[in-house]
Amino acid sequence: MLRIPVLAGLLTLFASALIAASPVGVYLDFDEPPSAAAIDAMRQEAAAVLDRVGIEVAWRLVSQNHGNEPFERLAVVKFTGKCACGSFLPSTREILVLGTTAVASGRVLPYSQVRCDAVRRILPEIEFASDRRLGNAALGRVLGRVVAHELYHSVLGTVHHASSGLAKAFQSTQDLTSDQLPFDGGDWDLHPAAAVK
Amino acid sequence: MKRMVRSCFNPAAVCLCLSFAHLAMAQDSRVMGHIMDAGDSAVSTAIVTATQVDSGWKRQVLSNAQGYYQLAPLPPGTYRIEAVKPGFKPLAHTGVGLAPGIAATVDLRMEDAEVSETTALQARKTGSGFPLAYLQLFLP
Repeated sequence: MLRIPVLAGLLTLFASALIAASPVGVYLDFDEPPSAAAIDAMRQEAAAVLDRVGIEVAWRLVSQNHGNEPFERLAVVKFTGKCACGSFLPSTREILVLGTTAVASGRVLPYSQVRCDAVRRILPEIEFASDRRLGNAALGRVLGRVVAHELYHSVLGTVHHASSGLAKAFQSTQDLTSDQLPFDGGDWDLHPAAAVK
Repeated sequence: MKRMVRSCFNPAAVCLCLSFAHLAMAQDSRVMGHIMDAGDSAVSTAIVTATQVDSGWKRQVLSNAQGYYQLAPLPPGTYRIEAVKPGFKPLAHTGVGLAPGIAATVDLRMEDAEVSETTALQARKTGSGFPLAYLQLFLP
């Protein structure tokens, strides 16, 4: 007699586990063909940073979207400029915008833009790296941090910035190239999945 | 207790559950449609959200290069279908009823909106830079 409730309970648990593990679908869109090494490093860094706050990412390309893959939540990240080092862009010490997320009538829309040329211009040591493979991997790692910052706005639907960590509005190149640049504890408290880890 | 747990993993019981799950999936519904702008051009990369009104359960999909989308499988119920994309006014259709196994078509025509604002991440070069040897340490 107890079998049906127990089976129903097991099925519910199974369904809950599937929902808890539901990844955020992130569609990438590139203005120009990127460096494969930079994009691999970008995905790896962003996934590692977001994993620490309980967010799993399923990477997709806009160019391969058929319009029929459902996600519980998704976001679009457009990369402008050239996401590969080595075209000798002039460096600058000006303040540059590296990434943005759209806001309309006070509502955050899950559409972000990452400016590869701006990242390359403030990091000449990467742009002018003699070893292109290392340069692109380092570029990708910084891009991954910018992507994770913008997904913080997209996924949480917030325009809020933190006073420290990766959710800060202003980063120095030392921050961006440091060994680790995690979110601060509490940055993701609004997100239900953040309580998982 | 042992007997009860063992009986739960009885192959016949598992098959029965899977059959019910398969039957439930066969009864799932879908929503599909085409998204256009005011000039009848396809709107690609719009995020389309189907929200089940009673439960708040939702699924999202990205319209393709031709402006088409399909959301499936959706459990039967009443849905709100919403499309958003920067540069367009958000557009919603409410009261879209989905009976078991039904495929509904919801085409959406989006109107232009004012320029969107943005939230920005800024940075500036600090220090004098570091040599490539540092990059080798910095990378895993």
